[in-house]
Amino acid sequence: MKIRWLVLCAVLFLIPPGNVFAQQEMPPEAAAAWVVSASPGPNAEVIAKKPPIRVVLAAAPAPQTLVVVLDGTDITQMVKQTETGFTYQPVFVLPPGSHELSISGADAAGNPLQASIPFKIRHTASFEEATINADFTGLYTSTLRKDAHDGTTPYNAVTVEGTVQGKVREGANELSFEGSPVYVEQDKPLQTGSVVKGLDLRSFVLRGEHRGETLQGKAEFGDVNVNETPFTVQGLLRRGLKLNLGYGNGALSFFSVRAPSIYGVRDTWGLRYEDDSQITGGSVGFSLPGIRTDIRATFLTGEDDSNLTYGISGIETGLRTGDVASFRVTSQIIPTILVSDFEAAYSRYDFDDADEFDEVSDTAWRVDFSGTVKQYTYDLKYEYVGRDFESIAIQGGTKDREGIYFMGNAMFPNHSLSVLASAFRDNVDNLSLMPKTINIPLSLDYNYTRFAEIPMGVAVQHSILKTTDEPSGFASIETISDTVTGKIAYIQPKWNTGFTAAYSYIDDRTEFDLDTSSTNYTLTFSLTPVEEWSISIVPNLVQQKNEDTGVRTDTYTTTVDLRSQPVKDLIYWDLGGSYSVSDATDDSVDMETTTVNTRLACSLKRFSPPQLNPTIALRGSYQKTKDKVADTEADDLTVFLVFELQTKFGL
Amino acid sequence: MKGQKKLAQIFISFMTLLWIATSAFGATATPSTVNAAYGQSTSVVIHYMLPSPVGVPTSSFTSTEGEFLIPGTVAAGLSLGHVYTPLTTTTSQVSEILAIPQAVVERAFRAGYNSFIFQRSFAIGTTGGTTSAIVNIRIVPGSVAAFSLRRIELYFNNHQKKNEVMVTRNFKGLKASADIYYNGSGFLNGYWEVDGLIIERVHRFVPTGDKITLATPSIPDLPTFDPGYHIVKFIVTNPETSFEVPEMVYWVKGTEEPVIHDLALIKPVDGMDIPYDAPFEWESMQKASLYLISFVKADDKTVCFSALTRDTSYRIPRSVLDDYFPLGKKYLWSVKGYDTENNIIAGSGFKSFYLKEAAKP
Repeated sequence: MKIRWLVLCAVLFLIPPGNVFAQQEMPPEAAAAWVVSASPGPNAEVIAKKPPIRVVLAAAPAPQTLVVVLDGTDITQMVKQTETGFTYQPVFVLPPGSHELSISGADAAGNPLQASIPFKIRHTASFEEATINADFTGLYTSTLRKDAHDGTTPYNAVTVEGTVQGKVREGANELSFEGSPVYVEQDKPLQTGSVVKGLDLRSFVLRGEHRGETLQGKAEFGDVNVNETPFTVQGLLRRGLKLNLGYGNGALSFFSVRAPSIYGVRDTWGLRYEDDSQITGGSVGFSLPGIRTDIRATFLTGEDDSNLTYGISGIETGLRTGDVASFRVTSQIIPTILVSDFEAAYSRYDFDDADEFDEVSDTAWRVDFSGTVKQYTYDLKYEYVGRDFESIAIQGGTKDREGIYFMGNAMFPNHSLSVLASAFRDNVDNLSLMPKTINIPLSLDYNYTRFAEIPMGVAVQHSILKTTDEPSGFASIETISDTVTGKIAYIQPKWNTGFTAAYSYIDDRTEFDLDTSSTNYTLTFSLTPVEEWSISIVPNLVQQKNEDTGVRTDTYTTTVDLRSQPVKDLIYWDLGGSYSVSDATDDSVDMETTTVNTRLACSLKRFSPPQLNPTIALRGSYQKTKDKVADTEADDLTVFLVFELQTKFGL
Repeated sequence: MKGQKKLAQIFISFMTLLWIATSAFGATATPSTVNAAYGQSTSVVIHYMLPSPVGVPTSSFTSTEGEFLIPGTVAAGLSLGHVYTPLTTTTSQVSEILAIPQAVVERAFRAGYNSFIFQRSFAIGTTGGTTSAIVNIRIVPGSVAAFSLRRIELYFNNHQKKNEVMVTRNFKGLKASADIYYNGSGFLNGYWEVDGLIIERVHRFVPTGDKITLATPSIPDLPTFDPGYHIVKFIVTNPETSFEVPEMVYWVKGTEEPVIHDLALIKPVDGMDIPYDAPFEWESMQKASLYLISFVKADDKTVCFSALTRDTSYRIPRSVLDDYFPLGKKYLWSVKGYDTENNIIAGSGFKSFYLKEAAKP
């Protein structure tokens, strides 16, 4: 596989980028007689990305009457008029394919003159389009001082990381790749869950695509994103293979990806099928354009042996297995005004195949009506998810729930309003062993936008939760929660400020009466007096009170963010800091934390070749923690010297 | 002497009775009752109070494991599962984050029970005695279970939900999001952290609903001033979690994020009826060597015509009107500025206009 990559890269590098004309200048027979000759000539195919255009006219147009339009863009002011016509050097890369140069003017008598010259472009002789771009940044970091000997901060480290993107296209066929090569070497171990030391490819995707009129196909290998339906799989970014095929009104998809995330390719490319950690599935669908309806059936099956995947944590452990099948119908009943979406699904799932229990099966279904009428949008959904419904590709998702959800939104010139209302219940199987619950969350969000410089709004949330039919020994539960949030800002070109305040009260109506209240104040202030300086300061105060005991805990936090260039394009000084104090009225908490990360850098770009961007920097990190309850205090200062080198190129 | 001996016997008997009594009363757990979600795992913080028998010098309390049991069958030893998390304390208090696995709930439920207990025994110093604490666990639907987190998923929301991204230096708008799946309802407290630096504190009541999505704020942005790796975490302080908090990384390139300045459109005024030869004017931008003015059809938002110019004004040529500008329709226009290397350095918003009937030549 590595050899194939090298061959592909070599081919791309060897593609001649210069201007090679497949056809000499020729009389434009198809053009009007006004044009004597043109390059590119009419219907000529040019091999170039920015081919120079030269046109010789039979008669010069009257002053101020020449208009030259290339693909719908007026380039008259960009052309260089000559005694016999004009020339033009394209400013931007012209995409491969058909182009049209339109010339118009008037003769001295005011008679209109017009001509049109169609031509085609190829970027290389081998491929209609061929591009490759790379962007790399390398860092050498040396530790000048460190107080904490945590065993992970290296004294010396070299890190190089970048992106490489390439694409070749010929007609309806396209092959592209994206990769993130990385090289890491340091005198301490790397953190787990990332790449390993040495040269590696952090992530990659190789993509082949065919875009025919009736047949469309796409194959992806690498870090792919799997999307099918809400009950089966959505937004699953994993290493594996994905195929999509479309023929006429039909569509077919197939995917097979690893259940846990994979980083780098040193351990595995992820192509091999793993019995214990693979999710495989596909779908078949077809469109009925006459009734604006799409129908899709999806099935997937999988096993997952991970107990901790990077970016996702769960407390379930062991091998989980399952499969899920879904049938979905979406229809534009009245285009944009009334769109329906129906899905029914059936799942089998075993949260631990090593225990004494077999897999359990259940169903889920939903019907959704949504649309937009003028400035109003709405979404009304009914959803039922069985007690044991679970997709192996959406573990920990919603289950044991039945309810109605409504979302409405209205946009007026000076106002906007959105409403969320829902009512749902748990214990959908009405089991007598458990209580039944009813939930009614409601929310309203209003914004006044009459003054663009002073946006403001208020939001209200009200939620009711209560149990019924409690089995013996279960006390009933009833909780009413309310939250009110207000916000206002003042926005100016060089500075802006905003204030947000929120108040919540949780009314516990059980015999315990454990009410809680909370307030949250946030002030934001940012200032950019000149392009080279910007600063933002955000103080925040949170007060949470246990209404039963009267104990209140205050948490005050301020963050600071500074970006500056004391000497433009030469010296950079940036800083991020936070200061936090937590204090409880019963003295159970009394803690201060201060953190500062900063960087002072000098750009050496003016002393280096144009394609290189070197920088030398001092980087510092300071943290201080003071716990007055435990009577402890800790300081930690780390200082690094960093040499940075960045380069990029493209063909 | 005899009296003293008798007194000593009485004292020893009293102390023995007291020790037995305190051992019998045993340790206590708070909360004493926990609602566990059916079909999910639930995590709760349990605080143990460990009373020392009077007169018995206690150096420490040690517990090597806890056990889930069906009530009423303790003696029979019907176990639902064990927790092998050791606890040791030299004070009278100790806490643990108890994870009630889905399998344990399932075992109890399938056996026909809607509640069970968790029992943890503590060895008292070197006395050989033990004391136990019991937590009653009731199986309930997820919405009324103890407020606990089931799963946290982090991703960068402006990069197709990826959890590793690469951005240019001083990139603005990089946002991290967290999908948090939970049981019950309550106050979610935590903070976003990048390289140990607090970016934002999160404190909000999350109602029953089992999932909430949080995102880092716009001010301050995630720091992108320092080339290299940066680690983003969402640290949850309430409810306490029994699993490792996830993290994700972003790589800041040495390449500088281009600064795109706002470009002001001067004429015509927004929404005006104008003749076809009316000039379009915009402010001059330092370092801009080229401008691209684009005209967009208001109804389908597609670009219908554009022009490249080095000036700060433009007039639509009469000869292109018929092909590109049907009269009586609404159009939008905007301008971008490019530097000598053809990088965009300025951009405007959109303004609208209507073209009047062209005057006959």
